Amino acid sequence: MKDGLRADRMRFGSGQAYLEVDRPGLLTTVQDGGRKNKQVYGVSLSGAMDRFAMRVANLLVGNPEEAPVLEFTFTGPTLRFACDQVIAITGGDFTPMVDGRPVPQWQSLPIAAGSELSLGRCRSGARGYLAVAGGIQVPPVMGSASTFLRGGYGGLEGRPLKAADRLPVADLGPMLNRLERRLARRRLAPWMIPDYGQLRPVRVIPGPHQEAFLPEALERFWTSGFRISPASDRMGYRLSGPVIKHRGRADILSTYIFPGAIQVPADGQPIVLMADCQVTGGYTVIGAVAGVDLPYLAQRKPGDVLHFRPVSVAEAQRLWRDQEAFFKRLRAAACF
Amino acid sequence: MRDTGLKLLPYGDHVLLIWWAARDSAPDEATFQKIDALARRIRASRIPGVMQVFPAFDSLAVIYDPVRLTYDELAKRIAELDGGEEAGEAEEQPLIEVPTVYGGEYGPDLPSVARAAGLTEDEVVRLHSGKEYRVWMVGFLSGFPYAGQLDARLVLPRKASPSLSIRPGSVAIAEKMTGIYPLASPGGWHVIGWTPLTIFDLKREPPGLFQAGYRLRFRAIRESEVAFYSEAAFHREKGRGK
Repeated sequence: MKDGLRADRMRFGSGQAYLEVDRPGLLTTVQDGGRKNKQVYGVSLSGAMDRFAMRVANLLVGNPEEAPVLEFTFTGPTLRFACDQVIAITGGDFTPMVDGRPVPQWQSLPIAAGSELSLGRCRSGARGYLAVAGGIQVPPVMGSASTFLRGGYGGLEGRPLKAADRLPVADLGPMLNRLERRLARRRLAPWMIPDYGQLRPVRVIPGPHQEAFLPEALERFWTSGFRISPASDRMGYRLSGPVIKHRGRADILSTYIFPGAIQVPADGQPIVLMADCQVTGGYTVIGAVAGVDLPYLAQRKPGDVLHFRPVSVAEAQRLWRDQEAFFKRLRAAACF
Repeated sequence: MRDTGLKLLPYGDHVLLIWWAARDSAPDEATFQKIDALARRIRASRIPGVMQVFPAFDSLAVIYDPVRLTYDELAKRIAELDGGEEAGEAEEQPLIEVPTVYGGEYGPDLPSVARAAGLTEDEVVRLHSGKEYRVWMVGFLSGFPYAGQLDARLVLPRKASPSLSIRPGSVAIAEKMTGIYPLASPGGWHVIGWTPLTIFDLKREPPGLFQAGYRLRFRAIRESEVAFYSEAAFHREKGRGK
């Protein structure tokens, strides 16, 4: 990225550039674009659940799109900044405040050393993202800063943030003024901000194991509502609804699985795999969520009802390319 | 397509699944050989936009970038490849020798496996370490190799109740397969031995010792030999094998 911050131009090791965690929130982790190209070794992808929000947050502060950010869930953290910084908050509405004064999301914000940023309970959506200029500085594990909770690696010691943690960030030093000027008016146009409150069907590419299901079961899958159960996390959403019956066995020989794939075990209750899912699974897969709809899914909560709508692979790929074109325009815009 | 059992299917918007309609639901080496050959042919062809090729027991997942490649374009390229020349022999795949201490505290299930199979413990060790296996899939936990196929005399169902904690490096068998636990975890396989090799290491590149298609062979060692099999010793062995 031509206006991306170059890590080698920043000062490190001053020990003065960090965020201190006052309150960690319900589940706050460091995430980035995830461990791509490591699945053949059995490594989970991980990374931000809502990649759209992560990418926009990073662009708003001049970072590469998949730089490490904080992802917070349902209730956000309270953080104190030890240094001047430029930040952006995206994702669900967490009513952010700096030193008690409300601040907007989806735009870049200068923040002064000593300030406290508090993020509340989410009023819409489920997950929020905080990007800081230069990214959260944690050592990469297998090429990524993402926290993989089940494996206990990545991010900050492989775990969620807790009170009194210090997260190293880039010390912007003398670059700060220039950066602040350049980013000062950077915001996402209101019409581009996703409406997480809107209820709409999730687009799903049918298959590959369509033949494993009775025709009436498939009909039921496309026409019923499925509630996200409380036993849902970054690995997957367990759904409850009408039973989706198999013709025969629900089990198959294990095959590659990925975030968005919808497994149906023998009990007929679908599971939508999410960012931290394993790389192989032995249940029939009824369909896979279109990549462009994963961010919407990431912003749904337990108790929400999902409806699925079939979409062709050609249509899903057209939507994917449209979204990449959108990001290309954002990157090209000096100020948006 | 020469292989009539082959089915190409869209799997979401960025994965193409090639599925061999297996006659029964058990994995076998004959099916895997076809999968491995096609996997290597796809990798060798370096189709722009193909990111990973993921073999499993009766399927091959091709992970690609929809910005660079549509499903139809990729399906056409793969169909052309399958009609092309033969891929190299399986012997070209790396062979990894796994030094293994069998029985005792290292393989707590060896006595029960021997009993169930109607063999002595030594016979179990001889059968397990006496043949070359192929990694049919890498999954479950980071870097767990599912390898086959096991001598028919050692084929047992998984344990009725899984062990709560199996130590990393445990060599185990279940059904037609043998595997090695990369991380401490619960598990339902019968643990018959342990290897000092580090199967999975976050700090190593690549992190996992195995990829699907690799060959492996277990070699019985004594407890006193464990120290010798450091990582360095392993890499020397691997270098010589090439």
